[in-house]
Amino acid sequence: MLLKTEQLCKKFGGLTAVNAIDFHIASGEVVAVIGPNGSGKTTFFNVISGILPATAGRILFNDEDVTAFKAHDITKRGMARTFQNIRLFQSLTARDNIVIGRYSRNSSGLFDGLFHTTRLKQEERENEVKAAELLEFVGLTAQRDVKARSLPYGAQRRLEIARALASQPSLLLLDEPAAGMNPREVDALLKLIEKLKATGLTILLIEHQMRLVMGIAERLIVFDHGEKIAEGAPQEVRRNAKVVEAYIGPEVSAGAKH
Amino acid sequence: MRKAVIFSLVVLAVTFVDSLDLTRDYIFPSYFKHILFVSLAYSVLTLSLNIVSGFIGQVSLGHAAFFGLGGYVSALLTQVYQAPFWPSFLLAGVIAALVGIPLGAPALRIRGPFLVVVTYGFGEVFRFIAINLDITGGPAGLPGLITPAIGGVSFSSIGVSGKEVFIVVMLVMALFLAFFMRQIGESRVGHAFAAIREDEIAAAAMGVNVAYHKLLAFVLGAFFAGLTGSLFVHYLSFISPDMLGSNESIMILTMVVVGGTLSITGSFVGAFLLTVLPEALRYLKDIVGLSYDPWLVLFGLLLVIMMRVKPQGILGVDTVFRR
Amino acid sequence: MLLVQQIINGLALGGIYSLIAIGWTVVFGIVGLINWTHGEVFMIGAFVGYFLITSFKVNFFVALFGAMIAGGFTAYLLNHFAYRPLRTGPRLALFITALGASTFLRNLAALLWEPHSRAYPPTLDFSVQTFTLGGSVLTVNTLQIFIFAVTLIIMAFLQWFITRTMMGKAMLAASQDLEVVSLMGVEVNNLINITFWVSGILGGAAGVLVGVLYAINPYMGALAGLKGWAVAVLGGVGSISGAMIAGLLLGVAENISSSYISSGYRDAIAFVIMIITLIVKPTGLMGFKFEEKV
Repeated sequence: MLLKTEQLCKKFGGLTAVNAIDFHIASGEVVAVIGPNGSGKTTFFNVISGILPATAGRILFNDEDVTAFKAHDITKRGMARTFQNIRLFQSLTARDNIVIGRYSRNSSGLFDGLFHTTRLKQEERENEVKAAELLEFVGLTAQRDVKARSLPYGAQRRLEIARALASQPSLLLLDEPAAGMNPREVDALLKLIEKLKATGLTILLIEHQMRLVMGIAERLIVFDHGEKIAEGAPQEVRRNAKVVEAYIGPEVSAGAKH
Repeated sequence: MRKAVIFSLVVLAVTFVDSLDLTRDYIFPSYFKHILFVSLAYSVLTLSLNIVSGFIGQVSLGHAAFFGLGGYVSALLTQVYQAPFWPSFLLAGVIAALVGIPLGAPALRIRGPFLVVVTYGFGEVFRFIAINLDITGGPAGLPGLITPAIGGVSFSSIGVSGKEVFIVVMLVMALFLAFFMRQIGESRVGHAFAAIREDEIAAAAMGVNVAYHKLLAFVLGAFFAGLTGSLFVHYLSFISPDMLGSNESIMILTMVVVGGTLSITGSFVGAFLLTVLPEALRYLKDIVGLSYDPWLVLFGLLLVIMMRVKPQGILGVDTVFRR
Repeated sequence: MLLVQQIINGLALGGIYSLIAIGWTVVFGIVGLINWTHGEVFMIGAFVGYFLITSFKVNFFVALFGAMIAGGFTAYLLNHFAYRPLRTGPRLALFITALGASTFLRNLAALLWEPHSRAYPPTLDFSVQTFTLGGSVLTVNTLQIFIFAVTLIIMAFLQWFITRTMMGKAMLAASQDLEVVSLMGVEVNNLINITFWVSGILGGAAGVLVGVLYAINPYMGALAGLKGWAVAVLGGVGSISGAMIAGLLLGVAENISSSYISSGYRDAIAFVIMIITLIVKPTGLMGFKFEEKV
């Protein structure tokens, strides 16, 4: 198992956002987490990526217990992510954003910085090459020197993915990558994710757009009110009564059964 | 680089032209040299605060505390323990840097406006302690501090005003810090700083150890402020608690903003502008015969106008990594 | 019983602190601005009140009303000319503008009105009364009781405003979530203007009250603004009820400490409390949270 959680809980004061989640994803899988708004999906992401500390339970990444780890340590171990509300470095250019994404793959420190050592220069050359590759991969080569805040929405989303890929992760977390995209853009995104999958990257995504989910996910996990209410292949989960109820509501779904 | 060379040459020229004994009167009287020294000192302070409030975006209103702390450490070491200047000078920086850790620690958990409050509070606490301890001389401070020497030759024995060597040392410090910041700014550490400044959470997700870098910024800023404090008080031959005060801290922050956060040259501009302008106005006041110094009124008005017109500061720009 | 006395003595000043703090906290809560100029609004209120009484010979209540209007209007002007244009700019710029405006006003006042202290001419007839309570003698200055009553009345008005009027309710809601309020169709600029008016009215009132109790000078805003800040932090920035309670607490605390510890440390108490609050419980007594959404 690449990533496993055991009885993972996250409470905010009296509110339980994530309740005893057992979860696993194997190397090379593409898994999607779906569920109504407010069901705890993003909080779940925030906890496993180390942005928020877990209240209880364990997180195992590559069989290592990373439950208490902070975000930067988890990233170093090979997990990268994008955010639901895009969190690019707005005043920096597209290229610079990706270069920062490479941070965990470099090791130059204060000394290297002060004296501009060979190590620093070498890392910079590598970063330049990788940045160019990634820009091309997401189709933003022409926007290399454009500030992130000036990029159109779809481009920003793609840039965020490129930035996450810059750390050469083994697990990529995508939080609603298709939010706000039109069908054409979603198709392009689908192709992008397929390309990533083909490289062997393990992908975990939160998504509402069924077109994307059904197109790429091998396994679906459904959250509702902080709990996992269903899990399985997309076609099965779709038909699961509890899932329908979670999205639509009990009375309506009861009526829909007939 | 070119700018640094030209700037240095100008400063050195102004400093030493009168020592050449070319004319009967002084081209640059002692007073001018004093202003030059103070401007350079503030340049270092502004640069050092720029690391904290510019590069890494943590607004700190307690920076003068490090300046004053360095001054007191140096004053006490030389007066009470008869220590020589240069080791005291270095220790002033080191101790200030160490104190930078607890002062920077709140920045790890507190954001934005709250941090302003805490750093402000800390600065005031320091001043308060300085006023109320006997060893720091109370509200009157400590007079009669020694004049530094180099190779046995006292600073004040060189040059016509005795200030020349001080100016050169401060110039060297300023240039060094400017160089240091430029180097760091374009390195991986600089990338980390920029990331934290833009978005701390995203920075952490990219693998940046936010806590370490924030503390690093505070420590570096404090170190240079402490060194400046030491040199400054030995130039004046005395120290007083007002040097630690929040008014000082506010002034330094203003210099950072006016010059342009993130801009190294801008810090020089901000420091010089806000040191020279009040002096020039005071001069004018004497000529015109005003009973009251209008500097502060004008200063306030200028700030408001300037923020309307160019809020990023005179030389403020967005970052672009050069590498 | 000395303690009870200290508490009573501290209430009048505490009430004034509350007013200042509420004025500060609503601006912070709704606009997110550290209102450096609040102290100057307070000072302007004090001086307007003073000139109304000395030059126009009005009574206390007219002076109070005049000061409140003056304070509110000043705050409104400050927002209109200095703050609003910078709302979308760099954060630091807003901060520096407030600083500049504060320095400008404070020193302009010193220029116009001379930097020395003045006392309000006596407009109210109060005396020192003594009571006996539980075997000990309490001395109470009825002027202080009056001032405290005035602050209570003002706060009662404020309470009515924020619970019974549309704008007031919007203000209360906005201090918790400005974005949502704007989505509900409330005109944000109007709301912010009202907020500054309220802030200024409270500050101006506090200025007059301090003038009556103590004295006024052009630099009085500095310390007052700072203490208002400290009180707001203690109460939980953005929380009106928090500011109310915390103000009273500070007033009493200052009084108690200045008799048990040396009075030179009196002003430091506000700072110490502020720092302790920020480190121990940054959300203050009322626990107002400023959670960032990830």
